[in-house]
Amino acid sequence: MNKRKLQSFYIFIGFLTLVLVNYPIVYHILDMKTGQIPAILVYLLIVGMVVSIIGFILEKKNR
Amino acid sequence: MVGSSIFLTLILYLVLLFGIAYRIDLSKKWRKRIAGNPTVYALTLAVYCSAWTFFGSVGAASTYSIEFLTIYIGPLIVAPLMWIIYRKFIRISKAQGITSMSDFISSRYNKSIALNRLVTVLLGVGIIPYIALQITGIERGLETVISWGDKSQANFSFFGFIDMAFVVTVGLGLFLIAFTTRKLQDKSQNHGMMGAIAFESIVKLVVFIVFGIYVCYYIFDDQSQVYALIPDGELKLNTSNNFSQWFGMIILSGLAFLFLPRQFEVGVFAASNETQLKKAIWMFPIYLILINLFVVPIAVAGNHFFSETDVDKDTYMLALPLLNGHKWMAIFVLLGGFSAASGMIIVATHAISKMVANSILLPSFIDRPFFINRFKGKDHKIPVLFRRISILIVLLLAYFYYKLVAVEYSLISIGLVSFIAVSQFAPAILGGIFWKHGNVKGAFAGIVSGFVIWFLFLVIPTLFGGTVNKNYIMLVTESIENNHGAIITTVFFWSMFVNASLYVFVSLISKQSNLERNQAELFVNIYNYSESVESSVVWKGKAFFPDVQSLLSRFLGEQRANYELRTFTEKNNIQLDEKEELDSRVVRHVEKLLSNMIGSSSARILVASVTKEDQISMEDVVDILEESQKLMVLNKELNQTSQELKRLSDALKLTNQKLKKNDLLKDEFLYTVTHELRTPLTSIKALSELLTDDERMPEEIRKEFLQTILKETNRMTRLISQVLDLENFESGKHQLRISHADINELIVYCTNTMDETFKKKNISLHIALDDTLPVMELDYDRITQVVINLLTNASNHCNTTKGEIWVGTRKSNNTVIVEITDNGEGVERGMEQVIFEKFFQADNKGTKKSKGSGLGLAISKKIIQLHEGKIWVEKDETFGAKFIFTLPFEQNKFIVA
Repeated sequence: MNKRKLQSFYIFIGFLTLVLVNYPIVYHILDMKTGQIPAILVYLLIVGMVVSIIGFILEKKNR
Repeated sequence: MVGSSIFLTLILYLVLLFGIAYRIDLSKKWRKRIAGNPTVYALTLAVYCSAWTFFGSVGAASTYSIEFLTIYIGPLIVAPLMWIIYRKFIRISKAQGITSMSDFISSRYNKSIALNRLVTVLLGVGIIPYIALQITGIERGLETVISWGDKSQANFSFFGFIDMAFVVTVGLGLFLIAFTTRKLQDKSQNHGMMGAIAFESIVKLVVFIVFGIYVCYYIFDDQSQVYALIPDGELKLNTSNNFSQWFGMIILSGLAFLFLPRQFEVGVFAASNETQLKKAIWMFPIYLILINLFVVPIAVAGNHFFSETDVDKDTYMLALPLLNGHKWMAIFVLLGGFSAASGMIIVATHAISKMVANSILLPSFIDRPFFINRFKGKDHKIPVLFRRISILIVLLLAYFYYKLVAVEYSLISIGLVSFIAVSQFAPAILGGIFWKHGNVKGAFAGIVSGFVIWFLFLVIPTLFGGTVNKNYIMLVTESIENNHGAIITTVFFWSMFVNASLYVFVSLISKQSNLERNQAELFVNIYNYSESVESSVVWKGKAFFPDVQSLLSRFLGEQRANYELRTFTEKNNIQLDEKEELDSRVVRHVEKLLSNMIGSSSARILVASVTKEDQISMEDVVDILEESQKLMVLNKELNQTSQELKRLSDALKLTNQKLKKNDLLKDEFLYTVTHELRTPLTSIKALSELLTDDERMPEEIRKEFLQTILKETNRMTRLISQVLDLENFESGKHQLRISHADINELIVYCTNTMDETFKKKNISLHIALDDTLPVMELDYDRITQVVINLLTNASNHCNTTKGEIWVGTRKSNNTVIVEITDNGEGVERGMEQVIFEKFFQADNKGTKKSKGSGLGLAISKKIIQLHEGKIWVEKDETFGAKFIFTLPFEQNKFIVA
């Protein structure tokens, strides 16, 4: 993967996360339930894991 | 008694930290491990999680519900952007010899010493409360554990006036003095401290997770039981908050993560190389996830047990185990909180004290006669002394702030005030590395205005109380409806708005100096210049080698100074002549070396004291940058050419190896062929001579001799035609003549041809053919040759007393599988591939000499490969060798007859 592409990917993840964790989405999810654990915690955990996993994949691809 | 045992535990922990740092500093192997290790780097970034995270997150979550997460969502978002921003910071810092945040900003903006000092002072003002916050965290933790159930122990102290917080502060100060100021160090020499910080990050994470499990599965039976305690079963956002506040907090924490001096210290100046960032980008978010995993359940549990009591929410982590009578767990948690706080105190104090020493104290006193005379010949001790003094100043200021102010406020409120302070540097720093037109006046205007707003609306109220705070905020927000409560985000928004606007506006209306333009080009386009920064930085003036050498020797020692100068001049082909003026690149390099140790301001002052710097013109800047650009283009081309040459040379080497191998194979082949031809020729020659010489030879023997000659001639003919066949196949001269044929019919034809031989050798033949096979595309004669060859081999190697051969066909997808099995000894293990090589029997060591030429299987393999099939041999479990070949039903590249 060339440097420009890699850089674009990192910017894309940053902005995607910014969108995913923002107020309208978070506020909407607050009303949802996932069994006994609050849905918002599960959602934010998933978003965090997605950021980490994409970062991990990019690191391996860029080796 | 409890106080003493806790105090002892903390002292032991500090000793452990000393031990780790000392071990790393002492061992070259460990220093090397720590220096380039991306995991250690990612762990040091976790210094972001301070006492605020450890105790404050639970306090915030129990008050503001999930809003506490915004402090971690910000860094989560900017973590991927570190590759763009931090990578540039690292590259610039290494190229320019920058070792502190204030140096970074001032180097970009005209190397302004005034700006350097301003940044240092403002950072000190902004961060010292944050360091005080950590001391508050430790003190509150200690007080909670010591005074639980016995309020009389609340103000535990030594000799009635030395409190524990003071002892801890002094202990951490000693740690810093021991590991960062033992001698004059350059930026890469704090591995011991970094190792200890990474260790602390592990400790606080482990403690937090263990405690979370303890609350969810020990105090309660299950995590869901804790969540069931949430009113209405759902987490709610504060209804008076809105989008702007949520968004504002995320942006604020993201900026703080990037620009906090401690993050800058571990992320930029302690980084060995840029590649460490790649791992940190995904490891750091995982760390944040893990450390926040149990915050909500702990906060919920805390609220459940203590909502009606006067227990401070920031101390829920300690109060929960104490309430349940688990003092050991409380001490364990206290240790985690202590590691979180001490890590932050160490790195933040190191960063700030370095700036105070290098930007304020050293430039003011380094050339004073008192210090020069006092430290004659030991000049390197002056920076060390000032570093130690500045560490004590910073820690004592933090301690007094804690005593006088911080105890009144929650951990999160002090932290956020500091966050907004460091964010004020974001426009100048980001503008500095991405926008060439930003200048020193713009930077001054932006930073000062942002800090004025911050100071008026956030600092003064903490000094004079909440009423003043509220009135100030009302002034700012009265025009914005429904936003009266969002103090932090309002001040953040307005300070950043004014700061960024003034930075851009003033930069646009004022001119850059030539030096500034030079630095702007180098900062913004650092990737173009990082290889040749010394030759890209404009310096014009007169300097002589002995003066510069003597200056460098004062701080580096004569031996190292000479080594550095010699290495640099040799690398850059610079001639050193004591009488001639010194090349400007050497002066620049000396300034960079000094800057690494004593900061850019002091380095600049010292270099100016031994040189005579001239004003640089715009033409100088343009010339030198053009020259550097040309040099870089040339370097790039040279690099590309050398890479291309290397690639070609590798290809040539490979071809040469192949040719040599082919040559060797050819020699072997020729040797074997001639050897195979010589045997029958010798026999023919001997028999012919006998026939010629002995005319009276009986007719019967003569006939026998003639038959042998004929047989040997046939053998030679067969061998020669096989060699020719093989050569034709290998050179690609021979093309298959594909026709439509029934493979079963072909096999029957071959077995009929061999029938006589089988009878002679008393071999039983068993045929099992698949009737459903379609008509196939193949070269009839060549496949016949393969089958006959395999049948001949089978007849030669099957059991000599009761030989048996099995021939079968079957269908598999779009291919036919033909199997020819004998009941001989089979092919020796490990020889399965070798038998398909040319003249195998001539080379083989493990099998007896067979009757063929040794080319049959090699030819068969070629024929099958040309048909896009496969051939191999297996050792049958019950019988002997099983030769198998496959053929596709259809051929797609040859002419079908």
